[in-house]
Amino acid sequence: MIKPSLDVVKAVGLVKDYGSFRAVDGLSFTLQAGGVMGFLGPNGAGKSTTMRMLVDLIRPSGGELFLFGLSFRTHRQTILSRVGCLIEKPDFYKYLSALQNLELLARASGVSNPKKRSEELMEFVGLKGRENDKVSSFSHGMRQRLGLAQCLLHDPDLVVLDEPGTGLDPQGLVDMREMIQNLHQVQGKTVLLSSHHLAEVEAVATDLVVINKGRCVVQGSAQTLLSQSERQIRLTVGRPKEALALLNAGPWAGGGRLNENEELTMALGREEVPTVVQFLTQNGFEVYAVESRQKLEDYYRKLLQQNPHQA
Amino acid sequence: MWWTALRNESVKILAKPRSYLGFVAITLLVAVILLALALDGRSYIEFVTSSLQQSLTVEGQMLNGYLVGFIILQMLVVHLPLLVALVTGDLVSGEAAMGTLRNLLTRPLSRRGLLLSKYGAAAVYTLVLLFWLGLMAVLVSPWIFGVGDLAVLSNEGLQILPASEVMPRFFQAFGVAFAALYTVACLSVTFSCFADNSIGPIVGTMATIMVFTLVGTLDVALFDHIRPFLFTTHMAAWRSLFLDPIPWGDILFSMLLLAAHWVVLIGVGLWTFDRKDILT
Repeated sequence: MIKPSLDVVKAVGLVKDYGSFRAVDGLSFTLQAGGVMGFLGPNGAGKSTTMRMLVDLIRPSGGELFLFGLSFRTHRQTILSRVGCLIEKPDFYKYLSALQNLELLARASGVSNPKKRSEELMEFVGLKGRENDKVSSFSHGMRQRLGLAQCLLHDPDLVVLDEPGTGLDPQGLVDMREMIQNLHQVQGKTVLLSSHHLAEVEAVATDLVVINKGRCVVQGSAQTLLSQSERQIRLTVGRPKEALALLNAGPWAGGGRLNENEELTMALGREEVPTVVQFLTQNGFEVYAVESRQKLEDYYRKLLQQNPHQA
Repeated sequence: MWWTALRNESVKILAKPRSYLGFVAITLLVAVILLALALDGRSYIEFVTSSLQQSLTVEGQMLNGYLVGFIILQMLVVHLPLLVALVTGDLVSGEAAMGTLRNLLTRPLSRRGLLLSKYGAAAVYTLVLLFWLGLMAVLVSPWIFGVGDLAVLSNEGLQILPASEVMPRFFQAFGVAFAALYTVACLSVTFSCFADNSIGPIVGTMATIMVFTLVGTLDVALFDHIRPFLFTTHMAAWRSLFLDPIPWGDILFSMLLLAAHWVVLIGVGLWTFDRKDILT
């Protein structure tokens, strides 16, 4: 028996088999209180299965899972009273109004004043004024917002969000990001966020877990992990093709390429950036702009290329 | 929390259009029966009692509200299982198909508690549906046809029950009919725990009733030992309440057997639901 810890989530060697197919294969990770963890992985990596295990919708075939230091086997209701979740798409009773849906779920969560709490959350997610409309009349974006509201009904300490940005328009994505930031920064909640919108994850995540083929590829603070990756430099220079030829002939041979906008892009360490700029200007090239990117998307792609099978 | 869950389930059943199909169907069917008997009831009674008319002299109104109520019950109790299964077979699998089961199962309520609230809601729905049928049969019929002694044909022949005894027997008959119909409800809720769509449990329940009824009616020695233990054999046990004397021993056996079905079916449902992975 593994000793539970006081981490909000502690998964140790989690396994889930569907017949002969192993969806999650000895996955271990921890999530500490107060963080926003980006939970990443390609399709079929086992993210949704893991998130369902985190809220006891799916029972693990092996391994140990503790939330708040407790096991679902012995403290299911205590754990669920502290966890709110939006798993995959938000589904509601279409024949009930938005407020009726929330009230029903609030009662099931043991909320003392279901109507008041539901109205508060309708306002928080920007659906005030639509309380009495049937959910069947809601757009996908409105349902996503309502989905976030339902998972906050009982004021949980841990919020598990599985693809909350799916199907949202750009403004909807921004609003969702702000709501998640509010949960973390203002309300002090711990958030586990799975999303394919890496820019959204990058904007809010303090920690990252990347999984592939049901196993953990990497875990750590977002800042630390991203600082380990090479910086992607985008240079706007005069005569870019000649500049690229010069660089390829010098110490950065093969490191650069031209993008579709005729801009020079290179993967460089932080300390190399001024050297490259100086090298170009000394050779008569005008450098109009230097943009240093360290995107989660680049890091994530590179990580999965390095760990295609996650041995 | 169980009461809260039961309240939630009742709210959902009340809000679902499908729940009212049964009431509409019963109302229409009763209306058709009442109209038919009002127009041509006398010749129907004469046809049924034609063999007895040489040896009996009937005084008073044989076609009265109590007899019509009894006929309605006899006809409609056969159709009620489908109407019950239509709603109760959807209680778990319908939510799985809609995706709302996820929302419910991530609340701080035990899975067993949630499922028991669904079995509870199924009992309430069955009771209300039966109550509606009772209202039509025992209140509307006497209002239209008046009251009188109830003539019932049994294996023993024609039995006449005094009018004063009829209503208490109707109430008891509804109690026994509820036991039978709730077995159907339990069966469909239990089937519902295995499925992720609404149709499967409803069809499964009706198929089970048909197969069991067939086994119960086929005069094959092999089935003689099974027949008394099939719930379908006891679906019409309520009729025994209109015999004189009432065979209480048989009725008690039927009730115990039906209750045993509830326990087994609910037990299977709880065991399955507690271990079910929610993938929808």
